[in-house]
Amino acid sequence: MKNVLVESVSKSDWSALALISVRHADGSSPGQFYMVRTGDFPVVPRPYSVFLEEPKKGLTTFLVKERGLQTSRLLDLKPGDTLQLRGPFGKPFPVLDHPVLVAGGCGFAPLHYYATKYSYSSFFLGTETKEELAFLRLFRNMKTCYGDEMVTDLFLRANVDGPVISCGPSRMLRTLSQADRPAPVYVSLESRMACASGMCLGCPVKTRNGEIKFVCKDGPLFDGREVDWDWLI
Amino acid sequence: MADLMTMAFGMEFSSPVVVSSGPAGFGSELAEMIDMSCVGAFTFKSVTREERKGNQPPRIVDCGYGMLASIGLQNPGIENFISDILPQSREWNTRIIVSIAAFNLEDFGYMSSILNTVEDFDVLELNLSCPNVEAGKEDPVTDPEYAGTVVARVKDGFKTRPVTVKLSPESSPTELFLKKCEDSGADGFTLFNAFHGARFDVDTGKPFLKRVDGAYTSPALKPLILRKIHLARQITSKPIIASGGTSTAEDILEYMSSGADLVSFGLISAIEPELLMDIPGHLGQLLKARGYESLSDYRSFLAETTKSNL
Ligand SMILES: Cc1cc2nc3c(=O)[nH]c(=O)nc-3n(C[C@H](O)[C@H](O)[C@H](O)COP(=O)(O)OP(=O)(O)OC[C@H]3O[C@@H](n4cnc5c(N)ncnc54)[C@H](O)[C@@H]3O)c2cc1C
Ligand SMILES: Cc1cc2nc3c(=O)[nH]c(=O)nc-3n(C[C@H](O)[C@H](O)[C@H](O)COP(=O)(O)O)c2cc1C
Ligand code: FES
Repeated sequence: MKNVLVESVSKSDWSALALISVRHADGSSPGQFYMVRTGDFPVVPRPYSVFLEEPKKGLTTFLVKERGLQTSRLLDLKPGDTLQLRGPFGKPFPVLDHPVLVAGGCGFAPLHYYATKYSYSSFFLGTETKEELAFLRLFRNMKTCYGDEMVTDLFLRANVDGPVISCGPSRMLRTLSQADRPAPVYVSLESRMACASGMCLGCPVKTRNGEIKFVCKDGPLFDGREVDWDWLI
Repeated sequence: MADLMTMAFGMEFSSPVVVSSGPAGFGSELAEMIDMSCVGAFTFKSVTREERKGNQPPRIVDCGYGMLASIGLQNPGIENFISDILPQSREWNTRIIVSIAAFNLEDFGYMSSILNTVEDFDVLELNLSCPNVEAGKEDPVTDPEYAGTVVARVKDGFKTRPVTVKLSPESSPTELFLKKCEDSGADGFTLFNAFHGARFDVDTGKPFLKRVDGAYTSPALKPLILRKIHLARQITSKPIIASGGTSTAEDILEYMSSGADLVSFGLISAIEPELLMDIPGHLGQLLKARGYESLSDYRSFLAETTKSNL
């Protein structure tokens, strides 16, 4: 893994979310992710989507939400610390004709990167808390909600046309994929990973025709209508 | 750089570093990331007679100090493996180990007899670490007699190259398994496959893995495996491929000190494959720092030490 320097860390109120910028820029595209680790523990690195890459500044930024072993360590990082990464992995998101972007929580990261590069028709975002939303409301005209209100409901009520790119918890992605609408819903899936390159066979997705694919190598974006959701979750 | 050439199974390995079966799958992705000739041998993921789709997710659960994997032997089946996958390894310029797994004697016999005439590999590994969960069925993990029967059946049909038997660390007593397999013709041993573990979701009270248990891989297991290899070395003089808990070039010297001939890297091959390219250089430095020109000098030193300890 490559050691990289932490350039800056900014946190939401209550420190549940952090944007961590590191001195590294490797030509990643929206949708791609890095395997990240802070040291020898936890042993197995975790995947994090690129939130933003700024080649001129030589920086890559990740959005991290405190959850467990790795994220608690990531949230403790300070400028000048190092972290270890490998990547970028995964296929870049395809550039669609003005897609609708739908994000849940940290699923905002890859869609944010997409929205900084390509045009989109509307952006829906749901977070767990009001503070997280305040931290992430970075584009004008975003349609947002937090707490008990589901971003899926917000999106479905809005009745917007066009293809969707979505990222967030698996259940949210399933709901979106099963919605009765003519345009496709592309979902960026989450899975535990080890190798991030299709070798260890650890992050499978079964398609409706029975084929086994892998989130790390064939994804992370899949056509939600092709995913066998009953097998996945 | 110090010469890392290692003799085992009657053949030369360019280095003692072996990629173990599974974490690096069928090798094509690894070959895109590293120069395969930097490892002494590559072991393919275990292949079964028929194609297997593998287990339903989640297949991986993190454990901090390591992880649990429950892949369910996903593989394309022996025929597709031989026609589409194995030939790719011709360009890798390293020794190739083919691993087979089965849930009955007939499938072990069938696979080994068709592999007997297939080219493109150097050693056959028998994965005897998959428990037979069907009630009342013979199980090579718990029954040493049956493990020996499997080895005999395989040796009956497979005569062209050596056979190494990969045992579960939970096959007890290890001594009896080693003896039965050696008496049945095993040419060497891969010691060991992973211990099995489980993790539970405290919110739901349910296991994280659909099948509850998975293979636990962790560098923290190193001392447990070192001890077991040391004990195995008292029982058998056949070559031993160490497996379990390795992550550095130092580990190679330590596993060799415990009695191993070759040393495999599992989890590390998946999470930091680039390390495989650095390990030979580090190993060379470690040998040089101790005054050895070659790995075989170090192994001669170990052989002398073992003799004088008797
Ligand atoms: C392609 C991809 C991109 C990703 N991008 C991002 C991103 O941009 N930002 C981001 O924050 N995350 C992202 N993730 C998720 C990320 O990889 C990690 O899974 C996540 O950060 C949690 O890691 P952790 O080590 O902190 O949690 P872990 O310690 O691994 O725990 C995971 C969860 O399980 C719970 N848990 C652990 N043990 C138990 C137990 N015994 N009982 C009950 N619950 C338990 C924890 O509380 C936690 O909620 C992405 C994942 C993928 C696949
Ligand atoms: C994802 C994964 C898949 C594995 N698949 C196989 C397999 O197909 N056949 C086998 O004999 N061992 C398999 N193993 C076990 C490894 O070959 C190795 O024996 C074990 O991981 C211990 O070594 P390590 O500590 O270096 O990881 C697998 C291990 C992992 C983590
Ligand atoms: S993480 Fe290894 S196959 Fe996807």
